[in-house]
Amino acid sequence: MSLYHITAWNSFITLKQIRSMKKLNTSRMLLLAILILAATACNRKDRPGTEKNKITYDQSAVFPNYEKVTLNTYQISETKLDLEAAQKIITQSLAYAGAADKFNLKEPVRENGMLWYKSVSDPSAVLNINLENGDISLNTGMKAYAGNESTRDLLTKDSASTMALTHVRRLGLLGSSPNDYVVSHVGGLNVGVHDEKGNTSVYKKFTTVRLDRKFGDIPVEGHSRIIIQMAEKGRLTGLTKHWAAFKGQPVAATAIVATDALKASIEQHILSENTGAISILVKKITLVYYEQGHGLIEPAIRAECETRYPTSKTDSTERVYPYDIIEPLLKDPRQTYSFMHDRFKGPKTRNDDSKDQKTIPRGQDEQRRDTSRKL
Amino acid sequence: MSAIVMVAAYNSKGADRMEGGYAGTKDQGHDEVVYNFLKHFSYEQYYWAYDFQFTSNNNSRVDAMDFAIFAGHGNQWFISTTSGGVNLATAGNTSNKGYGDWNCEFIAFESCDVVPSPLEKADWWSNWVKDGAVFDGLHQACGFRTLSWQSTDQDITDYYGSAIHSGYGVWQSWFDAINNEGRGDELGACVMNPTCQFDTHASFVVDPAPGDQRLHIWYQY
Repeated sequence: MSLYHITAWNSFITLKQIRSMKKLNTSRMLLLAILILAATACNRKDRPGTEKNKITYDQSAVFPNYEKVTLNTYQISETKLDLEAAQKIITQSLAYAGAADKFNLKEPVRENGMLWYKSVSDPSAVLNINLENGDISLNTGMKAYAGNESTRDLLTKDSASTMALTHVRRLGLLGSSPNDYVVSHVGGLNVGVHDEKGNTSVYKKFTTVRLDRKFGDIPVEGHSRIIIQMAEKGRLTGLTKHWAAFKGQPVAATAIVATDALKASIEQHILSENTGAISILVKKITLVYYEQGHGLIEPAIRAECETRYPTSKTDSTERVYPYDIIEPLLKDPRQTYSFMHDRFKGPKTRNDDSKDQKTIPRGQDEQRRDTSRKL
Repeated sequence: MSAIVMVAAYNSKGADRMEGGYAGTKDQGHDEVVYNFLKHFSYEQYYWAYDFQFTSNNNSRVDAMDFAIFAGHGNQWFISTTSGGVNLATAGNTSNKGYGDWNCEFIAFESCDVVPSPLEKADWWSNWVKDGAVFDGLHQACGFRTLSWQSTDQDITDYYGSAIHSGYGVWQSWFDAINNEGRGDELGACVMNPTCQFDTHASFVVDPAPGDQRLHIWYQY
């Protein structure tokens, strides 16, 4: 029986008791009614989707003592790229990856300050650069790796990290902060194949190494990262670089939210984003810096939670979903955090009516296919 | 003058066909996640997610689109909607069949665990292509083999929308978006008919035949 049902059952008993109380004298009735109402009110606090005490904390989930740490805010110190500077970075990166002729560099798509370049022969090849902060993303293409075979001479985990750092240094990707990184992940990209005979196989295609930024011992969540993708013998085939230079400035103690206020605020945001949850377990709380990607980094707290939801209104089977939130430590943060939904400027999402089964014509490609069948 | 020539050289038009977005819950910003993809297109549908959009009425919803995207809670072959949840292994078990028999080429799930890889399930393929599953001419389905977090999801779909609109490969752009905006513990997986591996939103091969059991899965680890 769920907590909700228990509460509902208690309410039912209460009504029966109130009816029977007509036979008691007035003062006893009044006292009993007050006691029952108080008990019911306590039970209602546990009802799903409404109250604060559905949040519990894992033993290891402790708020860090951040008020005794010197924290900074960071502001990007890079200048915006002009087209010439962007072309130079692109040309150097392509030459290093042996892909100088891969992309049409004359006709990029321009969107939100980014230039996107395409390969005429391979839609899996990606190249873009952000003129605001120098972010670059390069994939030299996967067509040559699409066959049912593993890439020969892929690097092992240890040698992959070493080779990735060699690429990073040769390309000068760490800029003015050569030590502010941690190798956070070594993995890769595989393909599984299920063929027409019912056989399944797995082929290893690429190795990837990810570097994340840290300031001292505090990890930077959000935008910063360098990801290196490698093929045979560590040859560079992909690169994601978000590693602008930042300049730090200490934050005054008075500008930081006190722990009690932070706890109240983060719980309020967790609850407001999980109104339908039966229970929420906070599993991990970490002091971090947060970078949204617009040239600022601010101190924050990241909380990882495990939320439990009923499958549907008619099926109370619980489903567990992870949930995380990043809460600013600054009293007046300048970035937008994911719970700040009021800053969202999109149109209103529509409810849907299942009775509306208006037929939408089939797509042009399907019409083409049908015609070819008739021929 | 040279600046004018340079601006004119930019190709501002990208791929834009029929796009639909479906948001799984009403209090976690999943509508924002969906919209951050849709805003790159002149999209056709933008709804809170309901089961029937993916099952009994998919010919007027998900399968009426060329590109559908869902954002919300998920699990292996399962998505949570505002009306309950959809088992993708059986979602094609109605008269509307699966996806691709009417229109849809591509679907993406910004949700935890929806696309398990061989690392999670030895039989990673059958729930996508068996009778009553959703591959019914569908080209590709993209998602995560791991969890995906609220703190990154709106940025991943924003980047993905840009990349798809710009005409890059569909699954390759999904991994590119995760690399650019996801956390290190968020790892993508995409299932596809092998003939469709180099499709883009604007340029793609003929639909796989219904009943084609062949499937590839590209996955990050």
